Amino acid sequence: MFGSLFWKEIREHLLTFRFGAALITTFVLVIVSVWVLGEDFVVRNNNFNQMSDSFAQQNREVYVPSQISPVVLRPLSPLSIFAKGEDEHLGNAVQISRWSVPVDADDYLTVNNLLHSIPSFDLLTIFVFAISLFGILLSYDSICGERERGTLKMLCTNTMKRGVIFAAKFAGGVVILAVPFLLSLISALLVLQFIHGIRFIEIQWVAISLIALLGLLYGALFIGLGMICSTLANRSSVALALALLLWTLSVILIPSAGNSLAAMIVPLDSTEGLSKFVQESNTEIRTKMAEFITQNNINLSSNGSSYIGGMQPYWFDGELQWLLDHMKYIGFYEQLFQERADQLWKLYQSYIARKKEQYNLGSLLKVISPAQLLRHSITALAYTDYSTHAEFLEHCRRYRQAILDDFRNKGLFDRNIHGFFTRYEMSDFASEEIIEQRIQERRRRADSGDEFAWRIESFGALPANYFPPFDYSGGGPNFEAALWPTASLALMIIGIFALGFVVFIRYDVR
Amino acid sequence: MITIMKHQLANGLRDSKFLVMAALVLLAFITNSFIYAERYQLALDDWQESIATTTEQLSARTDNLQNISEYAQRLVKPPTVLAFIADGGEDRLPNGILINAFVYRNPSVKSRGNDMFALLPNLDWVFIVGTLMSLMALLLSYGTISGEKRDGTLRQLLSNPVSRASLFTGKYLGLLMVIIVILAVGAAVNITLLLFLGALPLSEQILLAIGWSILTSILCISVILLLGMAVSSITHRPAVSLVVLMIFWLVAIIAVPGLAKLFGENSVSVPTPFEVRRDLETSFEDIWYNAPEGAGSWHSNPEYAFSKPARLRAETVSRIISEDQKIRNRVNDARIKQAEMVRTLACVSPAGLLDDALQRLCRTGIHGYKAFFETARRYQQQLHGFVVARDRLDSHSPHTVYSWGFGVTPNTFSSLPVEFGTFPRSHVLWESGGLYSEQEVPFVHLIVFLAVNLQLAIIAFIALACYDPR
Repeated sequence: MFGSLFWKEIREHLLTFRFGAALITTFVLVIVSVWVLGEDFVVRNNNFNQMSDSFAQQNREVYVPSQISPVVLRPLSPLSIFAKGEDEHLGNAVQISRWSVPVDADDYLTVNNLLHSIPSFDLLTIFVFAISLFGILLSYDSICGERERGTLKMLCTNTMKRGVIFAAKFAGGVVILAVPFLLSLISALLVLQFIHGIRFIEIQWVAISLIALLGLLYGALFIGLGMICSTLANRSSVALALALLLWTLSVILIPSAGNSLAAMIVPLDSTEGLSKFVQESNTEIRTKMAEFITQNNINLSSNGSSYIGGMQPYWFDGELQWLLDHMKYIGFYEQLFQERADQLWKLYQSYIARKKEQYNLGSLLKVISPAQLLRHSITALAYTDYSTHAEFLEHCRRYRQAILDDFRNKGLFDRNIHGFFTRYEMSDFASEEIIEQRIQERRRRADSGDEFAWRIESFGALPANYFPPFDYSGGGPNFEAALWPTASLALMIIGIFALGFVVFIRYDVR
Repeated sequence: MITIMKHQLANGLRDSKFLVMAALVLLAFITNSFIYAERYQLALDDWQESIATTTEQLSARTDNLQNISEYAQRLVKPPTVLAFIADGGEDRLPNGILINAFVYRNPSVKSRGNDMFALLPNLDWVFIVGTLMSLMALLLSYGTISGEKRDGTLRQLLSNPVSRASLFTGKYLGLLMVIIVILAVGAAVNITLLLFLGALPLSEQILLAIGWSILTSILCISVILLLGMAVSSITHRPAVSLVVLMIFWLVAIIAVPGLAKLFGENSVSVPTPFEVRRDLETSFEDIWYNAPEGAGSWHSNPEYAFSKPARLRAETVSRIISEDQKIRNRVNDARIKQAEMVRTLACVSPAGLLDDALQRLCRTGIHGYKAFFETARRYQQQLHGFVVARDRLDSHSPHTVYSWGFGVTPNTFSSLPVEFGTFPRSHVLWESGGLYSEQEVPFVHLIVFLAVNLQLAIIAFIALACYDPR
């Protein structure tokens, strides 16, 4: 019984104009989007690899611990081809510095920040707009259309249960929608595999199948919605208007309005306060440093060599007093800058908390929009959402802490502080003769053409394992974060199906 | 014709579809007022705060020309009054530039946008008209003729002594009136609310821009209406015309802007930030390591400043800085060119054309950014000119006016005190109309809209004229 109705539904749709139109449109859109974004990914990934090599090289070229300031990277997600998400504008390189806690990432890959205001046309966008619209176009007249033609009366006078009729129509609609959808998705995956040569790993395949499933669920939801409208309205034109109204609300209006309203209700603080703090604390630290120099009678320049900031390659050719002065001075301001970093981080935390608050309010306002739920879950699966980025930043902060702890364990901020900025031992400064000997030796080497004789490079780089490595796998599909939006979407479908069922059972076929 | 128009208008206004859609549009207009009133206020606060900060910092540095010219001012883009018409993604566009008399850094984003949110269109007029009202126009028009064909009423109508032309015009004008009523009511409510909330300082220019925007919006909606009627005249069943029109809408309104981005990015190439970094490093090394003998050394004693090596050093550093600026300028120009390309490509869709036209009128989006950037560059030249002129007056100065990025080398040029009143200030540029000085009425866009209107009207009319009522 169910079977024959189901097949009838499918047969009736297969040769219609709208099915053909939906099939062609979906196919063209999906292929174009995946093709271009796949190519874009290949280019970006090449750039990323180049960049990664170059930074690895740079990270290796450190001669004294004060130079250690590695740049760490977050690998690209191949699933960003399907959902670009927030990946586009968040950046993926962080320079770890002792003097600042990482709060955001630099972007070395995005070519044009002027295009950030235009959303990319990815598979997710096609899901959100096209699949739902086709769902509605396929189902808006499934019941009132039959009523208009008078066939519904005949159908209902049979011994068939109304529930079975409704379920068969729903199932038929979902299958009909699934055809163009799956067909184009599979072709797109083939394009990626064989033309762009992108290989996904197992867990990514799981994520891709879940993304496809979510897209189907989402389409089914709109089929259910269309059928409810079709049952409630007497004429198919009214049903269509009603369904499109609901579609506009849930797909277009609520997500847009949700963001804007949340931004209006919980406005973010101005970042002026943060930059002011930086400026003021800079002046304060500079004053303190100047005071320290005069109070302790420190002489910083000797023989033309001086230690500037924390990152400069350093060569040393001074007396013991020079070394002692620098030890005192650097110990003093390193602490100042590190304290400032912590203070600034605290300020940032309240700023980020406010952002989070705004975001949460926005999510709450948008929670009834299935489009939003789909966006949430698919970007989580493609790991291009904000939380993946936040997780990376958290890793960076922990890594910075690990480096600082390592320095502290090695006593580079107190007992071994000379080791922080020079490779000589204290014993190398024990007597005037030793210093003089060294100067003579260097002079000889310089005369014989060694241009690095006076420079720190003559020591060779620090060993690769001198400081802890950055262990971050690059994230992966976040199934946990995708769970609640998926569950809500599923609940919504069940609710809509139940509602449609009840409405249809009470439906007066006359 | 008038009767048909009145009939269509009355029908349209009584239709439940219309009422619900009109309510939605009106709601969107009202929400728009509150959102943009708040935004304008915040942007204004930020701008004024930034002016206050720079004023404070600059006035504390008047004791020394070197100090004041080296100070890195943060220029913030003044708030755009008309952002409620065309937002142009202002939230995510760079709106701050770090600048002093010698260099500027690439513009950065310093607005109150929240990067946690997914990127979605804002509720500006472009969205309300281009997305919501265009959908509404399609829903109003898809069945106008094919519906009457199916119901057989078209046959009856045509048997009356009514010409097909007047039938068509009457129907079109009726529908257009319906849309204009909604747009006019919505815009009036929106503007009144904004005025009431104090977020719309009226001036002749702004009123003109609003007027042009309304005209452009009407032309855009008219294109959609005529398209609806054309498809409706060609097809015989409303269900078919509906599917065709919905797919058109999906492609034109939703897909085209994103697709334009994908294709635009490929058609104009821009170096990645990583490549820019590399270029900057190479150019620096090229000049620095090939510098004439003595240019690398530096001594703090005042006599050194007048020596030959000091002059060589000044020349070398100036060359490095100017190369640096050239690379940055090139990148910025390429970025602007690419963004404009993307915008132009998006103009194949009526919504894209509308967006571009309104952004030009309101000086937002890429057009506003360009104006801001140009003004900032002009300001920097003005500053540099001021410093050079000031330095000439000082007979004790070595007259080597240069700076290494954001730090001035002491003893390179005059360090006399500066009268704060004579120092050029950036906000004066904005206030004298820097950003809005040239009002750009997008005549090309208007002409294109008119031409498309005409073309669609002809197609629709021919299709109707060819209809055989038997």
